[in-house]
Amino acid sequence: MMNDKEIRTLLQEALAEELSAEQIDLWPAVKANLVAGKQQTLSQGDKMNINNSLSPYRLRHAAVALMLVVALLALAAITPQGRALAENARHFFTRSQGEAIALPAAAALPSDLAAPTAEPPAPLISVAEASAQAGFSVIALPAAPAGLTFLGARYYGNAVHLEYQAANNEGYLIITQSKHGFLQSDWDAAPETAVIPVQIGDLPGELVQGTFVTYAGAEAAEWNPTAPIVRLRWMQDGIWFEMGRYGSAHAVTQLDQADLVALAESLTVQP
Amino acid sequence: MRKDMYMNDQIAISRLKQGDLTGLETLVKRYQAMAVHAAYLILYDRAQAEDVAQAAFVKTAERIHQFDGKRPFAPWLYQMVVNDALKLARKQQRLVSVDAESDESVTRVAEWLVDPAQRPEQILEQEEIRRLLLQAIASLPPEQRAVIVMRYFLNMSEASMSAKMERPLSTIKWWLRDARHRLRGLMESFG
Repeated sequence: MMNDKEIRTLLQEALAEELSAEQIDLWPAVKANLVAGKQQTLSQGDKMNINNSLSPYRLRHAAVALMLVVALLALAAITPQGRALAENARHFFTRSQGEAIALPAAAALPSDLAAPTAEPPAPLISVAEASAQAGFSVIALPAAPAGLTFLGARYYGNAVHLEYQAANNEGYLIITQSKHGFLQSDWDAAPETAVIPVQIGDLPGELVQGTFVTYAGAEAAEWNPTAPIVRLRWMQDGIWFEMGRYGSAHAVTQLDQADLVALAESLTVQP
Repeated sequence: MRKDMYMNDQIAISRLKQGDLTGLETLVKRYQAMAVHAAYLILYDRAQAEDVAQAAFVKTAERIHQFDGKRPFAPWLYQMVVNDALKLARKQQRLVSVDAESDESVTRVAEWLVDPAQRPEQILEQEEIRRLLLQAIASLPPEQRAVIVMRYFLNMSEASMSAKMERPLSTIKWWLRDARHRLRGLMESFG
C-alpha cells in the first residue's frame, strides 16, 4: 500500500506540473493591494513598510553600492594594505538620503518584481556542517546568551545563519556570516544619523537600530528609530558578519550595544 | 546578494510585525506556490486559486499580530487559503466535468472512484498518472477535496478538520478514509 507520504509527493508533483511554481508570482498584486490601502484595516493605520527596492531609482543606487563593494573587495584581495584600507573605509550600511523614502505609485510597480528573490527555508544543520557547505570556518558564540537557545545553523543565500531563539519565540538573535557581502537594498539602508560606529576588538563596525516604516497609502516611508530591530555589521578576515536581534522578548531587548559588541568579540571557532 | 535571502520565517515575521513589508515579501515568495496549489486543488481554477492565495497574504499582513509565534507559519497560512477556497467552491459547487467521449481513460478513473470494484484494466502511461490523479480528485465534492488538502498539505488532525469543517468527526473520518482509499487504490492500479 502506498503511504501518505507517497500520496503527498504524487499530489505535489501533479500540482507542480499543472501550475509551475516559476509561473506563480503574487507579490506585485499583494504589494499593490497594500500600497493602495484597499484593505480596510490597513487604511485604519497599521504601519506598513513598502519595499520598492527594485524601482529604477533604487536600482541605480543599488548598482552604485554594488560597484563600490566589488571595488573594495577587489582592492582587499590584492594587497594586505588594500585589505586594511578597504576594511577601515567601508560603510557597512548603505546610507539613505534622509529619514524618508519616497514610495512609487501602486500602478507603477516595476515589472521586474516578478523575479524570484527568495529561497526555500534551509534545514538546520550543525556549525561544522555549515562550515563545510560555506567553505570557511564558521565562528559561533561559546554559549547561548541568557534566555536564548541555540537552534543550529542554516546555509542559504551563500551565507551561514546561526539562530538563537528566545524561550517565548518572540525574539531572535541571528548571526550571519558570508564571503559574499551584506544586504544592500535601500530598505536595509539607514540614515546617516542612525549609524553608530563601533569597534569589535580592533575591527571597525557599524550598529543600527530601527527600520523604515510607513502607512498603507502613504507616499513615503519614514525611519522608525525605536523599532526593535538592531543590526551590527563588521568584517573580519574576508568574511562579512551581521549580528541582528529581532523582536520584543526581554532576552533580546536586554542586549544593548555593549552586549552585542561583546558577543561579537566572543565569536570563536568551535572545537 | 538578493535582499531576502538572509531571512528565515522567524525573521520575516518579526519584521512584518514591525511593519516592514520586506518580511511579507519573503513569506509570499516562499509560500506562494504551495498556497496556490492548495487553493487550486479545491477550486480547479487557476485565476481563482491565485486570487484566494493573494487574499490570504493580504490577511497575513493584517493579522500578523494575531499569529502565535510558537507555531509554524505555513499551516496558519494554508488554513486561511483552504477556508477561503472552500467557501468559494461551496458557492460555485464547481465540479470539473469528465468528458467520457473525449478521454476514455479519465472516464474509467472517474467510474472507479465511484465504485472501486470497477478497477481500470488498462495500464496507463506513467506520465498520465499525475494528470489523472488531479482529475480524479476534481470529481470529488469540494468538502472532500478540502479534506485531502488539509490532510496532505496541512497535516491536520481529524479533530481539527472536524472543527474547521463544522462537520461531525465521523463524517470527516468517512470522507478521509474514502478519499484516501480511492486515491491509494487508484495509484496502485497504475503502479
